[in-house]
Amino acid sequence: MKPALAIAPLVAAAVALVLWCLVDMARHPVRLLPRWLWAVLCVASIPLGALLYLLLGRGVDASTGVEAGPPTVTGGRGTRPRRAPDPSRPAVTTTGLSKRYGDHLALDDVDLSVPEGSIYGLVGRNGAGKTTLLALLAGLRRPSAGTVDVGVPPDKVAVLPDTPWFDPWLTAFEVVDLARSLVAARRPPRASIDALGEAGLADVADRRVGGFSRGMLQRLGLAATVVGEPDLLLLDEPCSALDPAGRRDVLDLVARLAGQATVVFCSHILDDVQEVCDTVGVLGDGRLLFQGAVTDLLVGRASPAYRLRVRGDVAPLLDALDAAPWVHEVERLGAEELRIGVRDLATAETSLVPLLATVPVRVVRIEPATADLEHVFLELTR
Amino acid sequence: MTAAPDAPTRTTATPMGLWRLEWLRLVRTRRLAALLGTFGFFGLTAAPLARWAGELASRVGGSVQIIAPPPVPADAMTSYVSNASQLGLLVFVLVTAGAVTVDARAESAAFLRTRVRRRRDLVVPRLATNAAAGAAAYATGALLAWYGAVLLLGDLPIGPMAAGVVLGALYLPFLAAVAALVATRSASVAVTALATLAVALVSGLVGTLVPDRLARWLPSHLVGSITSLAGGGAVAEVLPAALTTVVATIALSALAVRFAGRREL
Repeated sequence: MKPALAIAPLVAAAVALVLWCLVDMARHPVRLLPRWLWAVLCVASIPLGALLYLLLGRGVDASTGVEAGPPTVTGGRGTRPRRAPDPSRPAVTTTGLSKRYGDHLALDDVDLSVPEGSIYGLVGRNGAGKTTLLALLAGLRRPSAGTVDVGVPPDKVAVLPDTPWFDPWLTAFEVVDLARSLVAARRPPRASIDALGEAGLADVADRRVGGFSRGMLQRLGLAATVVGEPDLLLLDEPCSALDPAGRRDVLDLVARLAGQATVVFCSHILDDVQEVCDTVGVLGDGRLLFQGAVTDLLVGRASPAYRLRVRGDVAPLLDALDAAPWVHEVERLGAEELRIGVRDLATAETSLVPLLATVPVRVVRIEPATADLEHVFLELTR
Repeated sequence: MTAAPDAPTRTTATPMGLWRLEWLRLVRTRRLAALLGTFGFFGLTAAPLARWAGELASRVGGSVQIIAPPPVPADAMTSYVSNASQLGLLVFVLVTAGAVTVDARAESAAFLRTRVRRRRDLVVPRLATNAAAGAAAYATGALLAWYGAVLLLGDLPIGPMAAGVVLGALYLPFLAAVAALVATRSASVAVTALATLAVALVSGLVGTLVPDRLARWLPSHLVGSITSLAGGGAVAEVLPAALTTVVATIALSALAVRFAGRREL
């Protein structure tokens, strides 16, 4: 009798393992072998078959994880009164900020000044130092030289990396609520649901994030960022993985934050920066090439240009423009559309029309080209 | 952003926090099942293996006659400790290293580091939860081995056995603290796990090289506490190692808290 009692738990454990595996394979995807073959293996070879199934046969089912409900909470918005931002006061200041990785100088003597309540666009080519600068502002890296002065408490700074990643076994609600519990514990859990709703993820609040697309993860990261009602948001390429509708949602959200929080909006999509940012900093090779209001940048920096639309063969026209000393550059915008950069506006105003009269093309439209951030950026970083 | 729908959103409203995060990590990633399964399996098989080891060896050995001394109850605990201190500790170290290496994913680390208010929040919940789970799994396996030993081989003294289980379980929080400290300097789970295993290995090796009066102060001495006490040893023999282990665990944990979040991402 005693040996039987000693062996019984072992046998019970083995049988329980096999039963658990059978139930598991009935409810979830399996790998390598058909489901029926795994079942036969589990039953025929106790417990080796079950162990093999656990090691090799279990498929990935990332979209599971919905937990039954009570207590149920409903939407609703709790907000806290915010101090009115003072644009004359910088929310973030860096002085002589430099960061060196071995021999590579990633940031070189950067003096950043982000006005409180502004939407500050940080633009630059790949490798210009944008992500390094954000990491230094967030305190995730230490400067090699210089200082960072962030004028808000650490728990009021929120960072959104360009590729957010969360433990895949957490649900979307749990991710956002974890952020809420850490930085805004005074807010009720319903604030997490509201944030998910604002991010367009209310319907998947109970889904595990392991099955989320990159765009959904970016939305989730944004929800986890805004749930704490931060005073300073550091957003690294927040639209990079979003579809056009998602991009529009994020831009609208960022625009709504103007005046309520300070946002450093790091992006290489210059149209986005031009649309939502009131202040811009241009980084090139680790140096801050320009910093100031977007309008100042567009008015003062772009070289004058004309947009020209013609009909017919543009080759003779291109030859004529190449030969003109007052033409700075010619960019083909389409088969019959050109952007003509000129060195001197006065000369162009007197010389462009006579030049057009000398070549066999029909002029459909000619107008001064408005400066846009893309051209200014290219000129600055050239 | 898209406006929140008017219809009530139904969702689980159990508030999150760092302690619940660690509990969910243990349960949903089946780390707890792995720990309980490993130590539980060794616990369940310990007594039958000790009881019928001779017969099994004779059947496998064919014509070779193997004469083994009659098994005693302490053999079951020796069998358990032997397996638990190898594969069991390996599983525990891998599970713990995966949890305490906060910087293993930079994006996830940035999420936590920019939100926790105190450095200890990065370390204590992960360290304590995994240490407790490991110690509980070790104790569960030991109790199962004890159960089998009583049924198949005979009684074991209750007091010394209980002390042996508790003292033996202290070794796992020590290893968890080692892993937590290594993790403050490493972004790799593999490095954290290997360094922790190296500490366990070196500690065990040193124990065999130094005189007994020194070896009994080493944390690795606790591994054999159940065997020693089940075989009639005195609790006082294991207490120095327990004292060292507790002090080292506290010191290592404090250092891990001190260095947490300092590594650049």
